[in-house]
Amino acid sequence: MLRYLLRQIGTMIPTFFLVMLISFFLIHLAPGDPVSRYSGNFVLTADARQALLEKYGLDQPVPVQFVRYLATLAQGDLGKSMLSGREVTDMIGERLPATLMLTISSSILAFLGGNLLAVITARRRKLDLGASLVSYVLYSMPTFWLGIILIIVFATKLNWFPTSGYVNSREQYTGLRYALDVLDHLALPCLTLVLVELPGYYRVARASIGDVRQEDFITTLRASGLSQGKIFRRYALKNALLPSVTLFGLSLGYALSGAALVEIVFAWPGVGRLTLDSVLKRDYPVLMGIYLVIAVSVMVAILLTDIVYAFIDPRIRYQ
Amino acid sequence: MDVQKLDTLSHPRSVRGRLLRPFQSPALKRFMRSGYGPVGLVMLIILIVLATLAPMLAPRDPFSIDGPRLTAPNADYVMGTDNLGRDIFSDVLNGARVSLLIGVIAAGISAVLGIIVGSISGYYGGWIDILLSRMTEVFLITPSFFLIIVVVATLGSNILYIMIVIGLTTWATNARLMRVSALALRQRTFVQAALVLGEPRYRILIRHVIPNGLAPVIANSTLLVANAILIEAGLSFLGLGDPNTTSWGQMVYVGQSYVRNAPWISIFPGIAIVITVMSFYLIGDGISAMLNPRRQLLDE
Repeated sequence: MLRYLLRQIGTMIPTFFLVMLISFFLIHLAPGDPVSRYSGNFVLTADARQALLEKYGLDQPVPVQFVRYLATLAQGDLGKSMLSGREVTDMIGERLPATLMLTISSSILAFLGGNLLAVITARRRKLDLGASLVSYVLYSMPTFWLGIILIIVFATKLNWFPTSGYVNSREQYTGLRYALDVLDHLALPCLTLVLVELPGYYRVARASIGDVRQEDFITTLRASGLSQGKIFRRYALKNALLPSVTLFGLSLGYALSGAALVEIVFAWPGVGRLTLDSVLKRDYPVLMGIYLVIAVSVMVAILLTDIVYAFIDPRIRYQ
Repeated sequence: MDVQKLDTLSHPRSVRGRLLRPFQSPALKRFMRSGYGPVGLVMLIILIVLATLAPMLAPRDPFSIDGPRLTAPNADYVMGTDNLGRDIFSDVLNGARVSLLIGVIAAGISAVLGIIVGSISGYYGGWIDILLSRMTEVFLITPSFFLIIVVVATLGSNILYIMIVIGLTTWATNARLMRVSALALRQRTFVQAALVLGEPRYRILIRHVIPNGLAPVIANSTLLVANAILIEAGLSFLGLGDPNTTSWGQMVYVGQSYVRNAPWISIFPGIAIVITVMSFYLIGDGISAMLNPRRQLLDE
């Protein structure tokens, strides 16, 4: 197991560098540099422009910039934002809790809901048909559009939840009231993500329940006279949930980038919003920093999923 | 199902049977019986007809701005009008072309790239396989939507760029599927026989390996069409869509500012997206059922 993990990490390191290399070149070779973007309509003299380019190291060829970036990265430094001059680590760090709260809570709810729905409908044909239809419709919805619909229904028409934001800025809540206020704001974006992600879990769990039922050990149990319900609850279910565990692990990996559109619809102050802003303003260091965090979290999620898998299913032995 | 079987059994040589023979391959039967497959197909055919006839069917010029502004849906304007007085129904009809085109071309680019990389990787093996697999992995790890935003925001929002970028960032799953097929086919007798007969390897790859291993990629590509339509809608919603074409995503984006007083601007184009995306998902699942007879047994 340990050897397997070490080897996995070993192959991931070059992949990681390749990911960083590609994104670095892509970002830096694209037309439009931060300096000309920030100066806006203000015409810079050639000297001033040169000075600014030098200040940010943008006068160097891109490969040199990449090596420099890696060098600062090796010291655990993600650099400073070109726009605000703030540390990238701080900028991402302060956005992380909001994003993680949104994505992790919705992933867990979607995971539970999808599996529960699959289990409930697995042995009831009519319910299954209905659930399949609903899951197709939800699966086909653009997240941002579903968000808008939920805002129309639950915020403007029914007035149950606030339309957007993180806290009610008119009140200075503290303590429990503050937490409840955040939850109130969290409800709609979280519901949007749950509704969009749930069909994925439902479909995977439903398919694997069907697969497991055909396995020989289930036939054996059936032949031994154990009741169908008991076989299902005790043996089939455990095996059928494996694929949705993988899906869950992967969704946590994409937790940082996956909710960008929902964050924007609901003005949720998370990493997604920061990403879009830094793309539009060509804030290279921030962009690279977000990219790095996403790449690392995806890889960590893949590794963790492997480990959890081995715990749940003792048949899996990594060589 | 039983009734149908009895029917064909009792009239083994009926005229109807003979006429339908080309449509009675077991695979096609599985597709037609999958339930969702044919439904998706019918939906898609209707959509294609609507998209091609859009200029004739649309009651008004989608660009004309002389209608009343922000009118709620009524007999005259079935889906209402937007902030500039454009007829939303006409706009939605014309948007079908853009969405279908983007979906199909992006998925096509993705399929071609995936097939090339995956088949070479799986069939040749060795260091080529290691190199190409690593490359595929890089693209699998990269969050594609993020990459697409970066490219479109920097290179410009041209509909052609959008299609190419979606294709370039989504081929990795196709490559993986194709690689597995190629690995399996490499061992098969007919491929080995062709090698013994002295056929060059690149010819074997093109004439035997790719055509026979294509099926999973086709199933996946249908799903990719749906995803590409969703990605384009997402880009447009961020204001990164091609300003020279009206896509459904852009309409939702425009409508977001009028959610309170004119929610129909966002609602109808969104429904159009859902229907289109769903038709491709349904067809994709129908194809999967077609390719996987065992799964089909379970459903019955």
